[in-house]
Amino acid sequence: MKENVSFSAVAKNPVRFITTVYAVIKAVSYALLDSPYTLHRFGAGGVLILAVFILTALPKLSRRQLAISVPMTTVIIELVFIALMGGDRLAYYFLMGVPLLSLLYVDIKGFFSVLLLILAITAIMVFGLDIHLIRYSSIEDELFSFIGMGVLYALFFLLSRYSITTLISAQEAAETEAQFLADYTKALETGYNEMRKFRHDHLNLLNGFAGFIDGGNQEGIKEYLQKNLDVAEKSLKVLDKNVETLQVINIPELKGLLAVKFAQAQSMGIEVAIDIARPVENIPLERTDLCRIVGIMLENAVEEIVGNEEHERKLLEFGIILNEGNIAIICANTCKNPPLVEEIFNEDYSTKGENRGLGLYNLKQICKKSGNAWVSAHTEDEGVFTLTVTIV
Amino acid sequence: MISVFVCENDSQYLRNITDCIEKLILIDELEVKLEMSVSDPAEIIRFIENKKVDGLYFLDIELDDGQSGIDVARAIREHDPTGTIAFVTAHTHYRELTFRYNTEAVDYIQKGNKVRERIKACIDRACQKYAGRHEGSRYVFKLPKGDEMSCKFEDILFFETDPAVAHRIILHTKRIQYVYYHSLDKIFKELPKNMFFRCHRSCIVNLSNLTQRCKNELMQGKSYVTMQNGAECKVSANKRKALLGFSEIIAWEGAS
Repeated sequence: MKENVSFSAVAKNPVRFITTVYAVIKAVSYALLDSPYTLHRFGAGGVLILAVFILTALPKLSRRQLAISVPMTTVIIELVFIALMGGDRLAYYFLMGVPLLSLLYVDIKGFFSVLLLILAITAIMVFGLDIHLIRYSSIEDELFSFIGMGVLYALFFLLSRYSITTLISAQEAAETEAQFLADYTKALETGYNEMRKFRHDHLNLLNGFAGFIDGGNQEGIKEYLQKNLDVAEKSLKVLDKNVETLQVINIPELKGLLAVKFAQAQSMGIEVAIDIARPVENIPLERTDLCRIVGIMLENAVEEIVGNEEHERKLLEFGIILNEGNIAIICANTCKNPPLVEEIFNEDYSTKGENRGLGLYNLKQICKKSGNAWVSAHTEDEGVFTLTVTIV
Repeated sequence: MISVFVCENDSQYLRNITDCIEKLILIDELEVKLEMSVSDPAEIIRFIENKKVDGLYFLDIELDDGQSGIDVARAIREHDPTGTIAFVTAHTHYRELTFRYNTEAVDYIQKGNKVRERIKACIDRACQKYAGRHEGSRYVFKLPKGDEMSCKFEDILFFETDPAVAHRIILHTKRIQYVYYHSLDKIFKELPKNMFFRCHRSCIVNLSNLTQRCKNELMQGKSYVTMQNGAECKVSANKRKALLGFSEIIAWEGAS
């Protein structure tokens, strides 16, 4: 996804918008602080807003990185300013900062994040105590407000992280759908154009016959017919075969996606073999997940075939195999230099240059998240790379 | 001994298939007997109701009077749950992928195209499955809804349990993964002891499929090894040393 660099794009992008709003609210809340230090009250907010603008304008930052880096910047700035106020207590601030920072990285679920949360609350309370010791000299009457402050802080961090990540996934899903719709429309258009071309050819063909008949040239007619029949048959066969095979799929989204991807592959000169024998009625996955999985598998295969020009044979095989209780989606492509299977699911691995390795990593993540799909890969000596997703 | 049953409503085609099977049995001297060659599936059902067989069934998908070969297959499974079923059909195209991956519980034979080859493959597969069941050279397991599958021991990479669902086993083979329900303890008892190792509470690994990469990972003290299909097999800290020992023996054997 290409990120827009201009500042005016901030309002158009929800993640940027939210992070900016977040920074502004934070800055206002700084200004309203009854801190005796002017530097703290206005300096922190200003630096924060500046930092958020710089971060959102960085073109290479992905949304997820952005979502994590903005709250992280807040924490860092806060730490720096608090350290400026009472420099000799730096150790405490690190004590608080480390679990807080790591809190931003872990998932909300899971045992370790609960542990981290407790650690963070404790650390914040210690730190709160510290601040109050600077400002007031008695602890007892302020104890409840320390606890409250700690809990509020932790909740605030978790909530802001959670809401941003949720927003991102919702937006990603919407984008996938939009992409899918665009592809689908394009395929329909291609189909329509093909049809129109065929009709045009058909008319030309008939006119040609008329010419031969007028001249009474029988040999010519024979030759002409033979030549044109071959061409017509070839072009029709490809279309028909796919349409016929996809009839057995009763999941409209999947059927559409496959039709689109196969048509695209064929238009690039890739031979497509489809192996779906039994009617596909129900695959126990979220429709969007299913489409993303199949989309990634096919895209990866097509990219691999197209990216390598030296292929002797450009073949893409796709199959859905329904056993009782196990469904296997198999996608195989010819490839000249089979990749290292052990590496391909890593975040930063790709045979196609930088920033391209996310496809298979995402595939594995989607499968993992769904809880009932597993992905594996396999290479054969003859230069065939296969991805298999098993669904139960 | 495997009993072969053929059910096909086109009498000409029935004769073709029957001929083909008879010839194959004769040429290859297989432990296979052609039991029945009929056009009415009820005869087959009657036969297996009364007699226990290790069956291989060639069924026409499009039978007469609205009956489908798939219904017949279901009825057969009730009496002969471990039988091998192959559908004969005019409609399916050549199922290269399924065929290569040997991954579906039933087989498909397309009328007219490479029939002989496919029938031979079906018979071979049934023989392998039969032998596996009787000599233990293959690992045989059941998918959630009862289809029986089998694979060679050397193709197995590792077994793992799904932490989210009790008794759900994921079997990683070189080509494909299967998911079914069983207990890891029971599985371990069914496996050859010199080949498999319980490397984690939730994993059994095939020692013969450990690679140099796995060995390196073990030496780096990682809590998993990456297998040939890209999946990670967990290794507990107290089993790491033992597993490293095994992998060294294997590497040495591989070198010699």
